[in-house]
Amino acid sequence: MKHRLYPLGSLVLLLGIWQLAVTLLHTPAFILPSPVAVAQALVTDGQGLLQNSWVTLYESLIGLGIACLLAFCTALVMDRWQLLYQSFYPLLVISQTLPVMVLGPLLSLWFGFGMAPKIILVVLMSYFPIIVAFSEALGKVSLDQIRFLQTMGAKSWQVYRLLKIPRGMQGFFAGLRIAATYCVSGAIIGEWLSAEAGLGYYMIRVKNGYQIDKVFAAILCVIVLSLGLNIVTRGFQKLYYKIVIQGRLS
Amino acid sequence: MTITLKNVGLTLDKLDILNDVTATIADGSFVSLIAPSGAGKSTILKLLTGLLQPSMGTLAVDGHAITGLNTTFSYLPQEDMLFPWYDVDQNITLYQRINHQPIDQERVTELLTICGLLPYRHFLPHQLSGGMRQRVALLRTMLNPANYRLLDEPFGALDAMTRGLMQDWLLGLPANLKRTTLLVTHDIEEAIYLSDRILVLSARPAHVVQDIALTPAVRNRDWLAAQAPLKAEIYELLRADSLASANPD
Repeated sequence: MKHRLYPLGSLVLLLGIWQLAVTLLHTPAFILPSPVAVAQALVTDGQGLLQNSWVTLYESLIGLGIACLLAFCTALVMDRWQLLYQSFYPLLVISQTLPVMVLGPLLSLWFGFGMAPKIILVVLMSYFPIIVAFSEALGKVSLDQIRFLQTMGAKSWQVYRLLKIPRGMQGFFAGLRIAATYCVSGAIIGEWLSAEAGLGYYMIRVKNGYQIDKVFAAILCVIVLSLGLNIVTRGFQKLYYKIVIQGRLS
Repeated sequence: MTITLKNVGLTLDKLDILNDVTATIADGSFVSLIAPSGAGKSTILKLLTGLLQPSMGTLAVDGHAITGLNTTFSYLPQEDMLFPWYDVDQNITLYQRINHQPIDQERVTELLTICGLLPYRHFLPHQLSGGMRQRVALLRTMLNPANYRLLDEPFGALDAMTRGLMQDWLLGLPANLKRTTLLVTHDIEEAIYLSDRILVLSARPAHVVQDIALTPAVRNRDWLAAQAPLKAEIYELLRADSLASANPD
């Protein structure tokens, strides 16, 4: 319990220093609002924040889901056919040198101003950490264990079902936890570029009105969403091992 | 129903591992392979399962040549190879699940009882002691219906006490659980205690230097203690061979 109280204590201390500094230095609210002002903004504009958070969460979840599915399938295909792995994996790595956000205007041009370009941005940002972690975990499965299964008559698909996928899922979930944090950022970037709703859109709108306390309130919502997705991902990992792998609940 | 190795040789990366290994393992027998460390004992098991291919000679089971990866043997490698995400029940019935065979729950329960694992049947491998894990791995090998068992140093990682208990347990198995077994071990006492026959291999490149038959009326620890001269004889054989191999001039 103590180890959980330490970061909480640090956070309270930092917020206290922030509040004190803003009060003593009389910092204008349009430059840096106090934590109390941010909390007030959270309460007064709660409805708007909630609605926009839902839009961002929806885009993030759809994009993350598609990224998971794509990464899972492509990693398996590349692992099964090494020629594909050798042909495409280096390109995947090189593609990461391109900042995904620069694609935003192009995506808007191609897919319009609806949810599609935001979801594609989320997919692009989430796909890479998952496929890298999953591919590497699949590649690390011991050849001795594979051969051992084969001496019991296991076919290629059974080697995947019984050994490679369960072993590789540790990597998959490690990548998913990173992607769960990235995906909200992807949606926000998409909303900055073109949107009619969502936390990114909300942030731009309140920033233009110099309501910086509401910008901070929106940032807080982004943090909560990212943390929430991370926690849900961990929950999924536990459920996966209990239900899918062990085929039982206790 | 025999396993035959005829003039088997293996060279890997220009290194001669086996040279002219010839042996016949009769049906129902328990044969141990003993050799200096690194001589290629485990390699013989890998050749039989088809994980490796011989450079020369032939290996056959019941007259059928082994040409590649096969499921003729129930194989226990040096590591227990338990799957950490499956419980004891699931690990021991892996063969049945791979081959879509029905699982005889009564038999599984009976075997778990014999092995002292019944209370732990829903435990995951990390919740078991080293000896228990090894028993689970052995039980998985026994539930494999193959007529031949290949055991590669199954007790190698255990402490002396657990090792002794496991040897007693293996020896005391009911007759219906016994099969033709080829055991690889570096423990001379273990080989004497468990085997009907011991094949002593030379240092690398390995070949059979002595074939020892053991036919005691009663096999127990007292009998084993009386086999000290045989143990010394095998030890001397291995030592002399290791020295000769290390100093060829």
